[in-house]
Order: sequence, then C-alpha cells, then structure tokens
Amino acid sequence: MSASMPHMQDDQTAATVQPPRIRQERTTDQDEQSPLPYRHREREWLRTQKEAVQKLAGQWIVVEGEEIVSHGDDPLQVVSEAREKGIQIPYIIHLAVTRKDEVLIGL
Amino acid sequence: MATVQYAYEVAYTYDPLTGDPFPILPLQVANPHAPGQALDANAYLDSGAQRSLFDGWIATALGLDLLSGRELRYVSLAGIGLTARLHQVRLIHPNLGSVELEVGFSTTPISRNLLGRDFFNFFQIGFHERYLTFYLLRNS
Repeated sequence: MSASMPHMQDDQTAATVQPPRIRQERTTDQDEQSPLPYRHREREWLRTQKEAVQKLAGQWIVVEGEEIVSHGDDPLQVVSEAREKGIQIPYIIHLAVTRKDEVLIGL
Repeated sequence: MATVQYAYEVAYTYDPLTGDPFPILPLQVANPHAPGQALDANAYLDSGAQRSLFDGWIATALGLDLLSGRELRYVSLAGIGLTARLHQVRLIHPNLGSVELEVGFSTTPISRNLLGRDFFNFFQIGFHERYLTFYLLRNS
C-alpha cells in the first residue's frame, strides 16, 4: 500500500494501516452461504497486477475475472469490444494517472 | 447515541496504479427502460456531493441520449463548475439491492464517478478509515 495517504498519525496507526489490506468483504453476519463480494475477484486481481496495468496507464480497461478483456482510450469503444466478446455487463475501470504530488478530492 | 448494526462491509478498493485505497463501491449502472443496457463501474462515496455524478459517456453506453436530460450545474469547492444532464438510472448491487436515481451525467469527461447524498439517502453508511473499510445498511 502506498504511504501517501494522509491518515491520522498516532502510535497505533502504522501498525493498523501499513499491512496490505486483504480482509474479505462480507456481510457482517456472514456465514458460509454469504454471496461473494461484488467484483471482488477483479479488484483483488488488479491489485496484484501493477506492472501489467502500468503499461495501460491512462487507458480504460474492461476486466472480467483475471483477464483484461479490452482496453483503449475510448470507453465506449472498450465497452463495445467487450460486449462483442460476449461480456454482457462489462466492468470498466479507468487507469487514471495521478502525480505523486497530488491528492484527490471529490470534484 | 444511535447504534447501527450494519449489514454489509466493503473493503476499500486499491488504485491499480498507485496502490492507494479509496472508498469505492463497484456497482451496476443500468438503463431502467432498456433491459440489458448496463455496465459495471466504480463509484467513489462522496458525502460532500449533494448529488451523484457519473461520466457522461456512461449514459451513452446505456443507450440514453445524454443531452436530452435536464441540465444541472455541479459546482466544486473552488467555484469551478461542470454541466451535467440528469437521467434516471438503476443502480444495482447484488448484496445491497437496487435503487433508482436521477443521476447527473457530465457533459465533459471526468476522472471519477461520485455517489453523493442522494445515494446516501438510501443507505446508512459508516466509514472506518483506519481499517480501510466502510459499512452499509439499506434504509427501511
């Protein structure tokens, strides 16, 4: 995890925030029958693919499972290409490039 | 003091490039009038936004005529605004259900979709930033 997130600092923060976050999404009364978290597989997989996605920085990607189905600069085209490949509801993500000296706010 | 028993826990999503975590809810955005016209997108939870805002190309991808919607200005904290067009969409999450919202779609490209207080009206949402987790409970 990047250390650039300006979390509150105190004695315990480093210990609780620094380790990679791998807790599973879940219903709070989860049992074995709980559904899988939505798009969890794709998000977790992308988290481990930094080198691969770096090559696509600035582009839009459609990811399904552990595969990038389509990518490009035009999101409509990327969605269309994914649909042509049989993905009925494409999960599209923008690999936005942010500078190291920037932080994000809402609008 | 109110006590909330949340129903669903969501880990922050990490930006694939920077590794930074964000309170993002992946959900399906669907055209309520055209079954099958839908896509999944990430949306940032933003309690500072009065109304949700999505990138305009999504409306087009759903088969909506972007510019036919009512115009609304979204103004940032710096006073700089952008124009959006309002369209009714269905936001679907398999664990949380679906809601219909009149969402703003930007007429210029934006870098993030925002879920604002109109979405928060449907859910009780709690943030636990230290644990990079947020919680949701559908309002009855």
